[in-house]
Amino acid sequence: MTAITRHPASYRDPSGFVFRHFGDIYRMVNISYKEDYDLLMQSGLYTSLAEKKIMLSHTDVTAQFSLAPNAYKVIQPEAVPFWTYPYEWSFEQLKQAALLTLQLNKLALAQNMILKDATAYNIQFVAGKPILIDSLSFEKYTEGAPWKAFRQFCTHFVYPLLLQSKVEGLNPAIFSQYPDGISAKLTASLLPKSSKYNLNNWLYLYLPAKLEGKQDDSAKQRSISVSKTKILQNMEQLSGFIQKMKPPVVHSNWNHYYSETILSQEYLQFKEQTVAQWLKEKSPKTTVDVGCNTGVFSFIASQNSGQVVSLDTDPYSIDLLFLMAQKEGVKNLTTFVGDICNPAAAFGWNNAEQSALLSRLKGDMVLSLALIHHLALTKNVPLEMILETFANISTQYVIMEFVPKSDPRSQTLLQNKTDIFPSYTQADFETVAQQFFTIEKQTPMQGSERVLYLLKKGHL
Amino acid sequence: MSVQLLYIDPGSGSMLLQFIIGACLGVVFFFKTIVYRIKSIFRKEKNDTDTTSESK
Repeated sequence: MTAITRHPASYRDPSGFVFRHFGDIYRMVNISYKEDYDLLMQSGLYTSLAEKKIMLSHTDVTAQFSLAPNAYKVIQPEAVPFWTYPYEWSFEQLKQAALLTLQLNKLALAQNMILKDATAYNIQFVAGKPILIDSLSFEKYTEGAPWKAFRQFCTHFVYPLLLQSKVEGLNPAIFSQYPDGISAKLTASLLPKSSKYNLNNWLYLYLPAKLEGKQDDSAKQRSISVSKTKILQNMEQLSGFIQKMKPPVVHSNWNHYYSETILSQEYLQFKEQTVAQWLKEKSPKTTVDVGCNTGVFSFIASQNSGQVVSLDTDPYSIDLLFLMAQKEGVKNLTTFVGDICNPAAAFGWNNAEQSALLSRLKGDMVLSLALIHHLALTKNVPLEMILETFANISTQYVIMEFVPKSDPRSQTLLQNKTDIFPSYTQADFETVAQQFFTIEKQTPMQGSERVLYLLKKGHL
Repeated sequence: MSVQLLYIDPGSGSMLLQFIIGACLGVVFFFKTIVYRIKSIFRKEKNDTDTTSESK
């Protein structure tokens, strides 16, 4: 076995590991996991989960490799179009991932298997829905044994959801600092006191917070047996608990943007038509919609490009977009909470377990619509830096809307600020843009003073 | 696009906790079943269609 490189994030599970071989991703199944793997494949559990598209399908490619003595199988999982992490998911995304994990466990128990781990990092979003990506998550269920991954399920799903449902404006990015999940004690201390008077909160949060830290492996406890019925009841209760959770009712600045603050219908119609037409002409493989808001243009992009990746800093806008995309059956759109001004870093061991946002965010088409004035006038980012970043995200095209200082929205942004932006004019924008791009098209936007540009990377 | 896979050992499974939760839920489900049965008596009189608790 030469030229295989273990993936830097795949070192925790003794059952196997993920590796790269000539650029492709494979998963090694170790001999120690043989019995569980065979049960997964032979019980029909794998087939039923893969058919339901709630577990990533894989192909057995063992024959292509000469295996080491401790290796059993090599499988090649289906590709995930765009990788996101739990700390980038909106509330509804995390909630669906949690419910999926419970559903998987229930289906597994019916085949006498059980999830041996329940980390949120085992879930990804494919075709707008959560899916289990770790093929080695199941093990044989032993009668009387409790669900090993129960605490992990709580710290990875229940507590982050509770916090996000009770604490208004919480950015999911904070969970990047709790890679092993957030503890019951910490969660309990952050929630309002009124949360105590609720059966589910008490059972799943305040009781565990009290028990947390006490030795869990005394001989007495090891003899405790929990029946399958009890595990199933526990999961049914958890599922009801999570289904009832809602994000706090927030009228965020952004999620009513189009209905309340848009300049005019004429402007919006013109913008929609022009963007749609340009996208159709270029028919990109991947469109990245930076600052997508509730995704009016992400939907337009989804009809005109292979994949669409949409990000916004406002988790409630992403919630709306995510749910709307599911309702409309849009399958090529990946949504997540992300901030282009403060992109998620590379986390984990050696900075290599979760990759930085800008190293993932690539597209042959990038949309930057009604965004530049926020970056330049609110965040004081110089035009050179803005255009350089977009030139790094895009491999080919950028559709960028220039919003001049005279625009009413820019005026709002500037009203409590001294105008320290002498070089924020349309002429400056064009000069700077041409350092990185060729201006292929440009059109003044009806009903406003804004200008829409189609930029192509490089020079003629 | 780089693929990242992560796996976290669940560690100790909080057996005592699951035992206590199991006991509490035993009581909860006992009463839920009674309430459900009583409700279903009235429901059947009004409507013959099958209303399983599964479809939430």
